Amino acid sequence: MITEQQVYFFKTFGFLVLKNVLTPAEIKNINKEFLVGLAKMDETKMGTSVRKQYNWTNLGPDSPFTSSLLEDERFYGIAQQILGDDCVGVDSHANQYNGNRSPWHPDIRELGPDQFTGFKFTFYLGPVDGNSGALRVVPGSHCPGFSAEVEKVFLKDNNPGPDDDPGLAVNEVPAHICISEPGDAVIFDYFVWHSSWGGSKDRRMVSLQYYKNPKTPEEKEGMRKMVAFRKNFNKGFKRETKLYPDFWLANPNNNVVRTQWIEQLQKWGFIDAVNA
Amino acid sequence: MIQDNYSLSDAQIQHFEVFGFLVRRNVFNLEEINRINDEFDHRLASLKAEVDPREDRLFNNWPNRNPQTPYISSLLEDPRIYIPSEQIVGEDCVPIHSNANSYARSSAWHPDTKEAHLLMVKNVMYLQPTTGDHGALRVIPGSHKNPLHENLLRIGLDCSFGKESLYLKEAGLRGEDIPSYIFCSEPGDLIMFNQRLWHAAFGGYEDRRTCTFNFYQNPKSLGEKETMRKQLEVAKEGIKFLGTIGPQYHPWWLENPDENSKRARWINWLKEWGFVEAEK
Repeated sequence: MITEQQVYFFKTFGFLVLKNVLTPAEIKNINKEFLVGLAKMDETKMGTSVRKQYNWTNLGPDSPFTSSLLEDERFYGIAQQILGDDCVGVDSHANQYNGNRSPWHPDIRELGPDQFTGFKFTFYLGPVDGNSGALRVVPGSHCPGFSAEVEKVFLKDNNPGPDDDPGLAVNEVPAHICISEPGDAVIFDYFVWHSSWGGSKDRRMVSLQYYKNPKTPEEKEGMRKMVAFRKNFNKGFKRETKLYPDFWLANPNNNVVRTQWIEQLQKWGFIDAVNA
Repeated sequence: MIQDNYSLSDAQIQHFEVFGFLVRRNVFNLEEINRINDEFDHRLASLKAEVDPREDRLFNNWPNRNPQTPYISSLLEDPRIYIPSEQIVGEDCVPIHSNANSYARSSAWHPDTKEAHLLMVKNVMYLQPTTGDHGALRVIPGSHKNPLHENLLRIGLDCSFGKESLYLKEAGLRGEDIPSYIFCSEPGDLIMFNQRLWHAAFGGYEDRRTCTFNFYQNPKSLGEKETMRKQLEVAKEGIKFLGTIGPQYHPWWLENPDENSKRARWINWLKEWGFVEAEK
């Protein structure tokens, strides 16, 4: 659980750093499972962007501990505080980055905050700082007005200006750097602008993702759009396995929370869409 | 290398508009900074002799438009200062304040103004090297605009006028824990920022020095004019609270012996709006 002030922080700035959420033993366990997933990767599965990213789901049988974190009270409890008791854990990924940067972007551009609310936990499995791939965020850029302004800024990597002034490099955009040690986690709103700079090979990151259960007509329409968006988005990753592996859907331990999530994801049409 | 083109590029103007500030590196050279520091030294020494040492002062600050600091005074009319300011604030903008500041401690989080109807921009020059834990200015990018500007007020971050931040106290956070861009600087670098932008500096030390040059938009609409009238009162209160020593518009500066046309326009404007009269 987080304090009321931490909730304010998250809502004001669009992100929150949590220190020492996972123990060294748990990080060791996650790393062990990470290596099993990584061993199944080869260059054909590497993303083609400057991130040079491998990305795979944690919800398969190779990573039972990492998979269980989505239902872990330390994460799900915070998600419930921010998104409501009936929020849904939708995704957990492992990522290995081999590029020296991730260009600036928000995770979602297609919807507005009146249509969709959600966030992800990220935790890096090694220490990261401003020059070694730590997450950078523009605080407050999850708000639509500010986000639209940032969208206009010329960025060398992905929104270049004219040849004589192509725009800002990743590290030139004014930002807060989320310095992190193994065990720390950063929560960030899907709408917040973020990047990383100075990463080297084998930068490891695990994410857990949660969505608010849509209530208003706008939110329900937003979820329909989200399903379509995620269906296309996932095609961008060269994944071998389904986003929701049979192992996870079978819910072998009859976890009550997971049962509810699966029902909800099916109701939204999410599982069929992203597994297709 | 010292910039020889004083105009801001379109990208720099956009940066200022989106993030509320702009950093300009190597605007003044070492020789110029030494000259500024020499004048600063002399003026600070003479002020220390004038004021009661038992007086509880927030920090030593004084206007630059003074015969003891002719070079610093002239910087308002230096194209490196006024051209970028006019580009951002408007060609008919006016330098309301030009101050020297010698701080003895950190500056907690605050915006200089909450007014949204009038553009006010501050150019800040640090006369010593700064880093995150050694007095560097920190800004929260984009906090000159709502909703971020008002959200920070609402959560209780404001430490204006020596207040304690309720938010930091209740959250058990330090000012340094608030996410920001840190303007690590060398003497000669400048930062210009919208005065609605939230800013702070931590790792303060004795005689932390800045020179500041504030340009305000020439008001046109009724709302802008009303806001400008309020600024007249704010300026008076500011002098009392900050303990500013000496007049902002010294008769020496108002004489304008070289008949500088820009200064003449400024003086007319300052007289028309009552800023000069308010000091009497």
